[in-house]
Amino acid sequence: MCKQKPNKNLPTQNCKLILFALSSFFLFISILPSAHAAGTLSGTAISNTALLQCNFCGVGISSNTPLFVVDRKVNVTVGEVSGAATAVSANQSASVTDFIITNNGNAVQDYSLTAANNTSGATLFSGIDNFDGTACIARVESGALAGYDVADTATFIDELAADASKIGYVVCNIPAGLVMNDQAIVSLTVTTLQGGAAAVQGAVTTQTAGADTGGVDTVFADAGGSDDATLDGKHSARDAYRVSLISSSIAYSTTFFVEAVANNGSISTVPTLTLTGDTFTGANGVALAGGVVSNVPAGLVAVLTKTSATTVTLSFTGNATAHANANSIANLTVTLSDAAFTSGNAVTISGATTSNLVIAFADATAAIVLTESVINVQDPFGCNAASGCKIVSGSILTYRIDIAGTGVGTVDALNVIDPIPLDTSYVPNSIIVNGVAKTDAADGDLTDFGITWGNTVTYTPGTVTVPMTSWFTFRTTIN
Amino acid sequence: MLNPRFFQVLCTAMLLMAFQLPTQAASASIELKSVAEREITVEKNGKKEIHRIAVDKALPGDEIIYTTTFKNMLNKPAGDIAITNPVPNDSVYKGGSATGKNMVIVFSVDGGQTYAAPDKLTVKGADGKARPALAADYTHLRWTYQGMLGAGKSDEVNFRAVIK
Repeated sequence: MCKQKPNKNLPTQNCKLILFALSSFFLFISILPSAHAAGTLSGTAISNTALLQCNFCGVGISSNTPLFVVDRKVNVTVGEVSGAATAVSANQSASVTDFIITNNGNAVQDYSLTAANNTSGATLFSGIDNFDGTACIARVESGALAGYDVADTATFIDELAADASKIGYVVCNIPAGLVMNDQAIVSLTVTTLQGGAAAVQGAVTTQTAGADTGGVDTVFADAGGSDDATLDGKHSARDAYRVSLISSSIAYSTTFFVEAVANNGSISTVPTLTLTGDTFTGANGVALAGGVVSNVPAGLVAVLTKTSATTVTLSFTGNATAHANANSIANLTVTLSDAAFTSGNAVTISGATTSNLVIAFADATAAIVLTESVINVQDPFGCNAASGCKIVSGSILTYRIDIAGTGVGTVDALNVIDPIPLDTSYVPNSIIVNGVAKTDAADGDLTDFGITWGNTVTYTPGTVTVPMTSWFTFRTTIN
Repeated sequence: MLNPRFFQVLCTAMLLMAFQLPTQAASASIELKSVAEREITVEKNGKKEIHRIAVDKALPGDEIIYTTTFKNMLNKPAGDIAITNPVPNDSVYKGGSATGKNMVIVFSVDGGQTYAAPDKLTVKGADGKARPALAADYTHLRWTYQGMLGAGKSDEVNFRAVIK
């Protein structure tokens, strides 16, 4: 070439220098782009030029330069990260398995992520798939914080450069009612999408059909993964969830059931059994199937009633025939069998059998409570409610005594006395018992004034059965 | 003295020619032609045959066969023939692939400044110490023709390189 460009100012040796410079340039471009293990970038032109020197060739003769471009190689791999099943507990939500997605092609690509459950019976990490995760989703690590978190919302990988990798997740809920070492195998399938537009999910990349085209062709070069074929622009891998904790349980609102105040052998406590990690079978409001209550005191019938998907009440009908305090028990047992649970796995639910429930009977007791109040004032000026009544000399006060018998049983020889206050005078024959006027004489109407006790109203109902209420009133005049 | 600007312009012009005008000089004393091919396997009558086809596109990992033919166009023998070929960009020389009849083949690992037989070549390893050069370290190949190429005679040299 130098020979074709004769120039008097350019001696031959100078032209050689130029050729060496040309040579160096080739070196330069042949070394710089070597960083891509995944391959020369799609669209790169590769050229070759030979140089011949001879005894009469001057500085040398260059060959033509055959030139070709590098096609787009599509090759994605999905790898499982941890090398072990993710330990989960039954009913655990948002359980995570980790994958790494690598662009082994030679162009920027988007990738879509698809999570799936595997068919029962598949084996991974020495465990056999025997349940499915629920509501499984696939997400991409945002990079904000390592590990799956709320920031990881992307469902596709955006603009993944050749040789670059991203972490992806399959996130599933784990159903209730599982036993230890139950396993669910999930897969993540990644499909190559067109890159080139940031933040936009590209269309599915397709292989260029037929013979070479004029442009840069797309060639699938991927291997087959766990759940996809070879040369399909996809790759996949599996991971697993293994149950390593049992978290389903039943909690009692109380385990201490007491006798009704009536002390008649009935039980007033209605405890609620709340189930977490599973649900009860059957309809609300009816007896729970598969529930048995044993060690029930004679005369009582225990009833388990479903009140919601996760609650059951334990109530007792009838009256215990022996219900003194000494008849209390601490071994009432509730046994909920498989039929009681949606999972059908009572063994996995802590508290499904509870045998230390207490029924506490009370011995009979009775008490009387007296309450006294002034319920009316009438002054000598003909007052009424509108004008208001004054407490002055001559005003008449009406006292009321309420008698309340509480507890169980009878009270013998009840005798209520109320001395007339100082500076007041009893209004004769003003005693009224439960709305019935009584006399002041000791004449068998259970009341007297000033006979049993001086200047004192006495009411003697005698033996009463509690619970009961009674009252009497009398009037006094302020002196 | 050489005007630096002229030097630059000339270099650029030559680069353009090297890339865009691969035709050789009209009155070349020796005709030099380079082709890039790859092998494809064709099944014919139950037998597998390997064919070579010209490359216009390739994928990373593909092996490309470069063949340079040279023909003496003059009516006198040519001597001191040496063909120099850089390993193409984004490519790695495939060890042992360089061939050529009556050729002594040497390689360069320093961008074509020096050449030597493979067992004489060393490069600096990651630890800074010299280690024997590998085929992947080669930057240039050089064939030196033994003897004279008669008038009108032609021959060829080959090598293979794998696209990174």
